[in-house]
Amino acid sequence: MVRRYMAIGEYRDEPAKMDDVERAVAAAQYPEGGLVVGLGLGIVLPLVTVPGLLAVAPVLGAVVGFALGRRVRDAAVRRRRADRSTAE
Amino acid sequence: MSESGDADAATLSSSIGIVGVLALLVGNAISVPIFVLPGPLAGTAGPSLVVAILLAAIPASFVVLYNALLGSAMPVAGGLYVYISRLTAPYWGFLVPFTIPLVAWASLLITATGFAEYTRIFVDVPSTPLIYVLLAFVLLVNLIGLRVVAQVQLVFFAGLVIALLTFIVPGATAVDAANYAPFFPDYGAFGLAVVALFYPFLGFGLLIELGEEIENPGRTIPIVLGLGIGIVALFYVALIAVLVGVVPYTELGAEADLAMAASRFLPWWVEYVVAAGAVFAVVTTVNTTLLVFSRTLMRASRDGILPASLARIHPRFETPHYAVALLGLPPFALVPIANEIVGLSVFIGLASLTAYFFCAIGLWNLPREFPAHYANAPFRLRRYRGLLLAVLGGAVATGAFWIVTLLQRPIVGVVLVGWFVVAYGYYRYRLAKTDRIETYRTMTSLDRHERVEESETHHASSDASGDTPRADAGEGGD
Repeated sequence: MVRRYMAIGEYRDEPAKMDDVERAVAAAQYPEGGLVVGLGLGIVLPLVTVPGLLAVAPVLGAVVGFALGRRVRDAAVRRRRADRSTAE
Repeated sequence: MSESGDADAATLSSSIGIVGVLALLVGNAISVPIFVLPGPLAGTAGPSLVVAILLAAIPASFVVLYNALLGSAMPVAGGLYVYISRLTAPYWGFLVPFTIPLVAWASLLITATGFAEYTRIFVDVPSTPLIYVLLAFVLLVNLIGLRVVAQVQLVFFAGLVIALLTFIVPGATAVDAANYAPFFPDYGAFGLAVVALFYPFLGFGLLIELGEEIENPGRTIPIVLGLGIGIVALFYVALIAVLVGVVPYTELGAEADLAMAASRFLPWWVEYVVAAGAVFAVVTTVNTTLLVFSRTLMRASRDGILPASLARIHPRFETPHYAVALLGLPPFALVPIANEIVGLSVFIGLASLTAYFFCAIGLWNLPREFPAHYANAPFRLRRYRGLLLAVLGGAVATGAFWIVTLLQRPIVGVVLVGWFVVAYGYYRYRLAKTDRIETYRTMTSLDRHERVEESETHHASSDASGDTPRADAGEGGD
């Protein structure tokens, strides 16, 4: 099916479509936490090094942090599923 | 968690009519900036403060739009927190109650300082004891409860309007055009003033926080927002134009400068009228500060992401007394930084607009996530026209605020983003202490009494949206 809405907001998790493993991992909010940490680094590092980088570093840090957070989340889901399979 | 939340919510049943809500809204919005902020800001930004307040009104208008749309579609207590957590992600929503104490403390310190400075016009006493007196008064009144607050608010609101008119109307005839030059003495201070002057418009957020307690919210909220933004903007521009027009900006810089300016062109006793109006206004502001913010903490507590004690209702006064204490007690220890009026205002403006940015994202998601709510809203925007413009406008304004703040007051941005990192740590800590799946489910769904059944939908969703909403979108996501 073609998605008919734009990308903004599209990265929100949809609890209705998750199973318990996905909910448990999604609750940790890895991408959001990664975004905030990346944003913080993107602000602090330019302030202590090259202030001119303030124009781009916060956004760059936030995007990288968010992407890393999504990878961590996906890895956590895979790990939990593997653990569950092993237990069964 | 939701079931107990229903029971708690039922005890907060004091309802406010349209006049009471308008008084709460306008009284909360216009008081602090009108009497406290213009002096310190004009001291560096000069006459450009008139333009600064107009620019600050732009993101404020977006905020009004968000409040009107979300408040009428989903009237719930703890508005911003609920909207953001349900419509974007739980952690973004959690940032609201976690950051609210800082915003509340800063707001209390600013208004208490203003109260002290204007009170000193009447009595020759040091500022610090007066600040403590006001903080104690605010704590007490908010512990007593909403009904008393609304009545007190009406009386104070009338007083501050009289004082403002006493300053603005005669002042307009005393303006010296020479005082408007140079118009932009400091561009950096001008930019910072735009961020700081966003704070005075935040009274409009009060409405969605009180959603459950407003009579007929679908009709009341849009009406009072439309009236409120017009009244507030008019007062602001007129007052600042008079202030910088009757006194050279180099002579400004203090919190009580309105009274000083009044003494320049009005009879001696008018200075006392203005000072009395400031005292009324400041008291009015701090009244609603704790009232509103405590409701948000209570809702987050009901969701299980903050300690349960913050949702407890006092058996006699029917107020969330622990939440009020959390908001009202720490400022006593923070009084030494109370004179940092501009920095505190910038912090409030930046934190609040950031929250409203997430609110805008939530608004974009609303037709998709809760189609029945959106379809039942009294007024809506087309998704790919009005809604998209509202979201992009909020994003641009938020980005501009962050850039200006990081360039002019980097410490404010660092403190705020650092607090967000701390919030993530605390969020994970709370998650570990609860059933994380249940907490996640709660933070992504509405309480039972807040839901709208599909059968209650009176309008076709498609007439509000450029697209066909997902037919299988269950309310609450569970």
